[in-house]
Amino acid sequence: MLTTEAAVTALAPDAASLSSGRELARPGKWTSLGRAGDVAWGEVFGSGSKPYRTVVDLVGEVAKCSCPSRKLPCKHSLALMLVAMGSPGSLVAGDMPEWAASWADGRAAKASGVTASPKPVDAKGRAKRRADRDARVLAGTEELDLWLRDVARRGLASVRSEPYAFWDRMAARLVDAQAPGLGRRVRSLGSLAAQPGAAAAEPFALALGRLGLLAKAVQRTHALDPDTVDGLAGELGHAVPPDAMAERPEVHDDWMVVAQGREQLNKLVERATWIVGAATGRVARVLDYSPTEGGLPPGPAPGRTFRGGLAFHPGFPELRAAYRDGELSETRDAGLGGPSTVADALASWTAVMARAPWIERWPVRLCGVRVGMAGRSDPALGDGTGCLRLAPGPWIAALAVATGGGPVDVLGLHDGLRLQPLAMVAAGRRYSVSPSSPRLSRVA
Amino acid sequence: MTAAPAAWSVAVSALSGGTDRVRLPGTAPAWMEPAADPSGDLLARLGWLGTTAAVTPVPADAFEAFEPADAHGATPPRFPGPAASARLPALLPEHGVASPFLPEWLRLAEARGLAAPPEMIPELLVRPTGSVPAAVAGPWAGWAAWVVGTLSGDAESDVPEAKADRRSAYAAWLASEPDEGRAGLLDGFPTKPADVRADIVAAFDGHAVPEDEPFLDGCLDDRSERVREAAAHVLAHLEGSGYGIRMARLARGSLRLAPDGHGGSRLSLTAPPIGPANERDGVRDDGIRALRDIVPAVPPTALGHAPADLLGAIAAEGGGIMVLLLHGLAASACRWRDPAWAEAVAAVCIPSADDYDQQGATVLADALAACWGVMPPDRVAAQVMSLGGPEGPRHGAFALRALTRFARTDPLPPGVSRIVVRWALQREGYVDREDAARLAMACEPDESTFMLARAASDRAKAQSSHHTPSTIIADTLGLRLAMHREFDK
Repeated sequence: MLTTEAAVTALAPDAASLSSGRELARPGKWTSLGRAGDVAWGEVFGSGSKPYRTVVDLVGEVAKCSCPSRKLPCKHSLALMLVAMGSPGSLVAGDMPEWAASWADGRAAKASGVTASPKPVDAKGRAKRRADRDARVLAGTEELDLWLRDVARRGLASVRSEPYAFWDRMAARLVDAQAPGLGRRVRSLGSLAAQPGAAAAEPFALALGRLGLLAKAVQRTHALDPDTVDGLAGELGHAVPPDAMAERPEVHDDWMVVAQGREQLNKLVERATWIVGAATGRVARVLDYSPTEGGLPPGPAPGRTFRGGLAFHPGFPELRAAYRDGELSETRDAGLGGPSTVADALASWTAVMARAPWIERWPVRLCGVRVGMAGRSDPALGDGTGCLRLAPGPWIAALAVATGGGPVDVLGLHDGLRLQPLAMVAAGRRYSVSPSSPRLSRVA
Repeated sequence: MTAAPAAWSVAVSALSGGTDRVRLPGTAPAWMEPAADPSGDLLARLGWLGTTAAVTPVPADAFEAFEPADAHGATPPRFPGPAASARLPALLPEHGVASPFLPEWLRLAEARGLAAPPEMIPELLVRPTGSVPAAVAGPWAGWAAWVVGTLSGDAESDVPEAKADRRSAYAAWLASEPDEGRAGLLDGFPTKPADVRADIVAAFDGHAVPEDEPFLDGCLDDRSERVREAAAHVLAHLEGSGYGIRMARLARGSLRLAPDGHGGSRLSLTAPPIGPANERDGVRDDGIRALRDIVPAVPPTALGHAPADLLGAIAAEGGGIMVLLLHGLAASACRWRDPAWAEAVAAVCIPSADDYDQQGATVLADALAACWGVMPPDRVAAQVMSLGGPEGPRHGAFALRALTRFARTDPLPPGVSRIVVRWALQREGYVDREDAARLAMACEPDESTFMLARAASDRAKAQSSHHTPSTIIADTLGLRLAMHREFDK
């Protein structure tokens, strides 16, 4: 319950919002103010032609406002909270207006586990929407196929001089065609092409070839099994409907959170959390999105273990997952989920690629590997069964020294050419690796 | 090379040039659907070769693992606990600037026989020469330097290792094997790089004996300024050295006391003689300003005056010369750790500060903070409280500057937290002066720092400002005390 100004201050996303909120925290600035129980609402004019509608739950310490601000809570919400505390008499007790009531009812329903308006699934409408989307995606991939061939015809030496707009235009068309996953890959191609030197040729070739395969696969879904088609949908960036996710089976384990990374996408921050099952050895990735870094939902950090169920998204290969019920504890396990040699890791990678050869990277576990050199110039991780070259990065020296030359367990993303480590366990010490930092983060 | 990697290389080459210019040799596998044009053919081949050729593992015999650190004779080091380990990354350079408290962290680790966490060693290895004690780089230092060199394609280079612990290693050698150490370090000395020569000379600090004087005195003629400065520093501390005698003679000749006609003394200043001999000893300025170089190089007891007499005369003289001399005397008192002289100098700095502009007051504040660093805590506390409360005439920038510098004194002076919190509580006006004293003395040092931090933070919030001088002092003290506490956990 918000009872002090300090409590409101703690909710402010930044100093500017708080300062503006204080400015607005005068009843005279509001065209209407009301309160019913723990919910307060009000209308205040901003830069728009209509007043912004703000409603806050003083117990739940959450708010909603119709202003365009991305900050949560916005300055209007903070101001309303301050008014509710500083001038409670200015809030007229009475019935909530419809717009405030619908928000409050929705929250109450969510809290009790009941959907506010349990609409029946419109199977016919959904099928039509899916058919429309598939048609647009198909058209988009046909255009992409032509464009990729044009890139191959011109060659890397020619297209690397193209401005980012060249890649962005194609990416935007794919987003319009409801294939944002393809759009992201095209942008990534642009970044690879812009890298100087001959070393960029192989990664670019790999990415181009796989994107070509993906485009072809989308055009031939009739020849693919349903699991692979579902996996393709994930690659295209299509969300899984909530009712479909609700039906997914749970996989129970002690899920060790081993690494976490953030990436700024077009207008979103993506947080990827990498998890390894202590008993199953399975690897999962939980993705969260938010317009701002501060808006990401709370989630377990590296070094913690989630004991409970994960629901994997449908499709082959299974990787993306969502948390179900469970509890958190400190990670006690000293490894990364059971034995796995370099040969084992390559076998698992090959098995995935055999069915989904368009996958960009796939997580592999290596246990008891040592750091060393493959040839004269390539740092690598290896054991008696082979080795994997490491991706270039500023973290290599720190990783190599942290091993002490002894055997370590590593989880990394393998793209077929090189391995980008995500997490390492060396002599009982757990680390996570960020691709762009020279440092390893000690997580336990 | 197997057929698949060869085909992959050919396809990558074709993509680099483009199918308009490079013809893709050979034919696609029979099972592959024929492409409509060469670019489609290339695209398809890249797709399937990417799943086969690229994954072809490097043969096991092409991989050579690094030898384990213990195979290099390095025993596994002991590392600090999680809290102290987690502190280190925050102290290392970000955007090229390291925290001023990094050396303190390294010393705290070294004093406890702990090594830096292994994942941080590469960053420590590339820090400036001689700044990382050997013990902190740990027994793995040599192995880690070899690994870093191998990864960078420079396995033969010993530079990272030398940078890590050169000066400490030289000093340790001199301490454990004086004769062999001297012979080894001085062998080929003139031909060594300037930074190595400077580290060798600096390693004699605390280990020099009279027989080293000819070598050290000769270093005053070295072509490198760093070497000359290091030699002067060591010689100043070498009892009976010609350098020390020359500097003391210059100081005494310049700083004389004469009767003032009222039963007291007045300062009689004489400019030191100018000449090549003085320049060789590091006296760069001419005239009275030469005392700036001379006074800090002479122990205060060698000046031939009682503290009260000399400082009384300096205070009566006033002006820029007073600032210059107080600065020099403070440096001298700190260098020779002389608490009596330090207190006498500090006592003159405080009342004098009001007479100077900002620049002069800043020099005096720094001198005052330096003196506090070698004085007993109760004497420091008395002087700090004499700075006055909010109504006091000297509670402004001068006091804040001195206290801020004092809070940064390395090593951490005993009782610094209580002293500063007592003054700051009084200044912030939260409690009256007696209460402030009682509160500050009653609580443990760490508690008092947090109390100060909270008080300063409340005040900053009230003023809608995040950085007041008090918060800066509190943050500084809080960080340093936390570092000590983390090592003791």
